[in-house]
Amino acid sequence: MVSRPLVAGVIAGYLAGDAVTGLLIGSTLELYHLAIVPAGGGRFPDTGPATVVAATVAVWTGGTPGAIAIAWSLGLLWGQVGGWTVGLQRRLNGVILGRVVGEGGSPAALEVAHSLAILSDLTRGTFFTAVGLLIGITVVPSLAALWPLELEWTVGLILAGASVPLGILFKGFGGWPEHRVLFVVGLGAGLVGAYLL
Amino acid sequence: MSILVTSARLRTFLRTFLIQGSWNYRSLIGSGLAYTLLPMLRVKFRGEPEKLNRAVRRHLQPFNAHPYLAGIATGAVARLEEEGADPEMIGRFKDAIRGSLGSLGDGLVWAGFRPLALLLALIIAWAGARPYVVITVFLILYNIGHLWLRIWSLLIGLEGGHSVLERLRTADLPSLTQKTLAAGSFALGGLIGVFVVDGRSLGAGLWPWLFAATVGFAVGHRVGYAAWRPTAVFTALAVLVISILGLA
Repeated sequence: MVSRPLVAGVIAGYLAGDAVTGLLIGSTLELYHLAIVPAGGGRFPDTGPATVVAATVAVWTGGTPGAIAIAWSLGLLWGQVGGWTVGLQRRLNGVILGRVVGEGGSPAALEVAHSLAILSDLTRGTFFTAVGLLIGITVVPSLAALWPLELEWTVGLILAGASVPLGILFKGFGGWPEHRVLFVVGLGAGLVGAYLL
Repeated sequence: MSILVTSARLRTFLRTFLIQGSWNYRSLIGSGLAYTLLPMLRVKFRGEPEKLNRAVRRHLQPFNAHPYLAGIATGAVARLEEEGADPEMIGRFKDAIRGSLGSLGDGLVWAGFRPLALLLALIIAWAGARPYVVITVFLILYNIGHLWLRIWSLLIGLEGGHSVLERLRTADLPSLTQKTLAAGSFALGGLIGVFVVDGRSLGAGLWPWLFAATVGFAVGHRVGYAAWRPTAVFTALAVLVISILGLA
């Protein structure tokens, strides 16, 4: 659960020096990943390292609207690449189990293989994050300088894109046919509550 | 000595947190299940290393389940081993239970409870709460459900043994899933309401933005998950293109 974008963004932002920017990056990335149901052995974005990259790079490159926008999009794309590396990791786990445990079924060998698999995944995540940070701090400053939008419009653009995943999420909840009344009541409550705050 | 002694139970419970640690395409979480069962198997087959090895080999076979509900299989299999059940029967039992534990958990946790907890945290985030408050609320809310489910799963598995599916039916998780999905719909509406009020900062751009977002929401609702990856890639690339072209 620490790998959720919302949590990883705040922690990475705090460690980089600005938890509020981390929250902005983490919460907007979270909106895109809420609808994903990681069932079975499919390929899904690796959100934790990608969010750490996005939040850290956004803070380190000044936290400007441009830095936030470019680092955020890097995080979204980096998560896709991360999903591919998770697939490789799973293949590697099969190799580790085959080599270490083999046909013998020794409990000690199983514990070693299981620990090695966890350790190699940790190494993968660390390396993957480091490469993302390197790409981010190299690329983001030059592109961020060209960014033409204010923060409100930057966030507005990201939220407009997030409307599609939120529609997917609503469909996953049962959607308009099943839960339209609760959705509309919630919408009203959100409007009134936010207006009064 | 019974394999259901407290220390073995505790070690097994702690290992359920790592059950996906060696997830692989051959046995899925089969190796994780064997790893999780080891503390209990070691008690059961103390002084009989060959029997222990055979038991480990049997449990290395392919298996899959939602990680939070995998405790049900762990507990039930441990119980069957304790009772000296026929290994073939234990294998058939695992095959029979894996589908239910996967689909029930995916629906209840991944599709329902986790998004609900995140939506509630996102609402308070966009309402202006401090970052540490947001993640504290999420982690507390989520872990109440998460830890309860893990503990409950292992306990009903240990108590139920072969009849655990009957206990699972009595628990009526699908009904709980439906309630979670309904609550999620309410929370999603609430979050969108907060976004709309925040959108006032766009000034005259509010209405075009609302129109675009409404169309996007309708497309997502209509197309479903197939729209996810194209949307994510398109939005990320759109940001990069806007930056490169310097579009205002």
